[in-house]
Amino acid sequence: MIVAPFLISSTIGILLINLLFKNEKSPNVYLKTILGIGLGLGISSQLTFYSFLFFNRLIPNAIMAAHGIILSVLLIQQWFISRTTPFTFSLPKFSWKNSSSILLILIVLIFLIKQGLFYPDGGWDAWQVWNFKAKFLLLAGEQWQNLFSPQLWRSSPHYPLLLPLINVWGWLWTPKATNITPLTTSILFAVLTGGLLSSALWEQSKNIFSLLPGLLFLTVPFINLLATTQYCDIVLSFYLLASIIALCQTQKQQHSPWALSAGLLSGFLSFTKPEGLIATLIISFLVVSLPLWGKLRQLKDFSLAHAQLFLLGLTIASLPTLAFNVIYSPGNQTFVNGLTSTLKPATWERFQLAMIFLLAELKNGKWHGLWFLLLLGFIIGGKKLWDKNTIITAGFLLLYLSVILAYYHINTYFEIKWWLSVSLHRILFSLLPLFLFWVFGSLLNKNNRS
Amino acid sequence: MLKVQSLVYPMNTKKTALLTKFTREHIFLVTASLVLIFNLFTLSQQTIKMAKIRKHIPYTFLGDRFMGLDAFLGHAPQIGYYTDKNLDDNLSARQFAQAQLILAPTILDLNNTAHEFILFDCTSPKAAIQKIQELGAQALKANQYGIILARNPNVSTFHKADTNKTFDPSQHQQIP
Repeated sequence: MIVAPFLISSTIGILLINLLFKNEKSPNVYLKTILGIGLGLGISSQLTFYSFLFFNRLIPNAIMAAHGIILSVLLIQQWFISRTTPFTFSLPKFSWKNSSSILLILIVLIFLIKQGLFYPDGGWDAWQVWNFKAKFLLLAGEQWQNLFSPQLWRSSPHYPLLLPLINVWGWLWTPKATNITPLTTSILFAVLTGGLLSSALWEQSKNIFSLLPGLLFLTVPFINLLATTQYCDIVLSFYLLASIIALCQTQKQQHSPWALSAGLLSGFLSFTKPEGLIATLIISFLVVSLPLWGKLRQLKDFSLAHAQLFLLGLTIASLPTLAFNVIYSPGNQTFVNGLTSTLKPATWERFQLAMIFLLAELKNGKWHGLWFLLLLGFIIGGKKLWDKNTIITAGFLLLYLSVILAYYHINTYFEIKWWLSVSLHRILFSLLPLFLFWVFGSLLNKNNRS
Repeated sequence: MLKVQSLVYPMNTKKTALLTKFTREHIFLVTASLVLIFNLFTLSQQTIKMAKIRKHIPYTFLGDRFMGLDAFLGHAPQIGYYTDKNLDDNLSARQFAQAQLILAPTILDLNNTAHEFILFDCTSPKAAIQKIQELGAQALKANQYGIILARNPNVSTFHKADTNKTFDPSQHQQIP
């Protein structure tokens, strides 16, 4: 029964993706499946949230019924689609390349499971924040809003609920709230992130080396550990990468379903963590400014119609984020504006420390030289990394990093050294797949290759 | 001279062709593949090492020390959690955080004894009992880890989580 909720969510997501694309300019089966699972889990999380929003408590039967209805509607739709365009699913042909790739993926999966089982209850934030929230939501009944009590400041009451709600959905199918469900979620998102990275690059380049960045990401021991600690960073990483990939595909293929998918995925992203909300706002800013930028440069890569579709998807998927922030969230209680505070001012020294810490973190051995590899990619790629195909990824990363560094500087609530030591590596971890996508995408792309 | 050139020429084209084929992108991909091999090697080494460690030192979850106590709490939305341990210490802070997870959805109000039920997690049972007597509370349940659940008869109603309370972490750190 542990697997049942994940299977239901995945089926809903895959059918939805299938409905959106209808085999027309359809992405490869791996990319479609992975995006489908991501969408499905996001939908399940939101349906669970609506139980709290509309009934002021968790009603398992209502959530299951909502899933059942959506699944039935999508299955009927699929039946209609398959009458005109038969549903096809082709497995890759047997070759040494495919076999060795599958073997490598299996090895990585074994390592992830093994690593997860070493710490079945996850890391510090798993028991203090994410799994605690999930258990609270599952058992508190009508008193679930006590979760936002300031007394629980250690559990960051202002953090959004996408991951805890996925776990609540999972626990509805088990007799007890055991640690197996959050562990499964964690491993699933780790695999999905690596898989998404590789399948998106395969979609762009059809190069066997597309598998490399996904494997590189999941085989660094530190990343392998962090991905299975049941934190929300891997979930944030997945939805961030998925949103950007969908936007890049919109720009490249001029295909509306990608724009709608990007909007939906960005909406889910905003419900992961406060950083996710910042990322969503930056993505939205880019989407709105791209048609204007295109008009100026006489490019028609990203039309106004695509921007509208993106905003439609975003509006649908970010309703829980809006409700959460307006109705429930007690707000960030750990914020002091260093620009106005006389007691805790944002000093030049603070900024210098943040920059030094960032550089020290990037060259830390725990990353196994991945940032140096990316630097090599930057040097080799040169201008390719800054052309119109990569403008979304590059633009997003530059804006996002600037905002994050500015936040570290302005919010002087925490002592900077301690704060950076506990959070910066996780921000870099969640951005790493996107950096890999940017660099590998530029170098593997056939149109770009020398 | 012409003969020499014709002998050398095919070799040069082969070399040039090889060099053109081996682009800068290939240098990057070969480096990345080497990093992957290194990753796989270290990951397997660390996994084997960790598996050996787990054989000698089994995994422990400090929150397990609070298992079963929820049955005595009924549906109390909030109880007191008294400790004389220093929560700046990693182990004590971890135990408190894990206790909160195990006893959820009951909120543990750290070092606030103005609740009907109070959990005592002290450095010694003697220190816990002394505090219980000081408060005029009654010990209800104790387990082998020295965790004591007590009832304070002076407080008969549950203190609901006050969502309007302003945030002051120092207030939660102090022993009343």
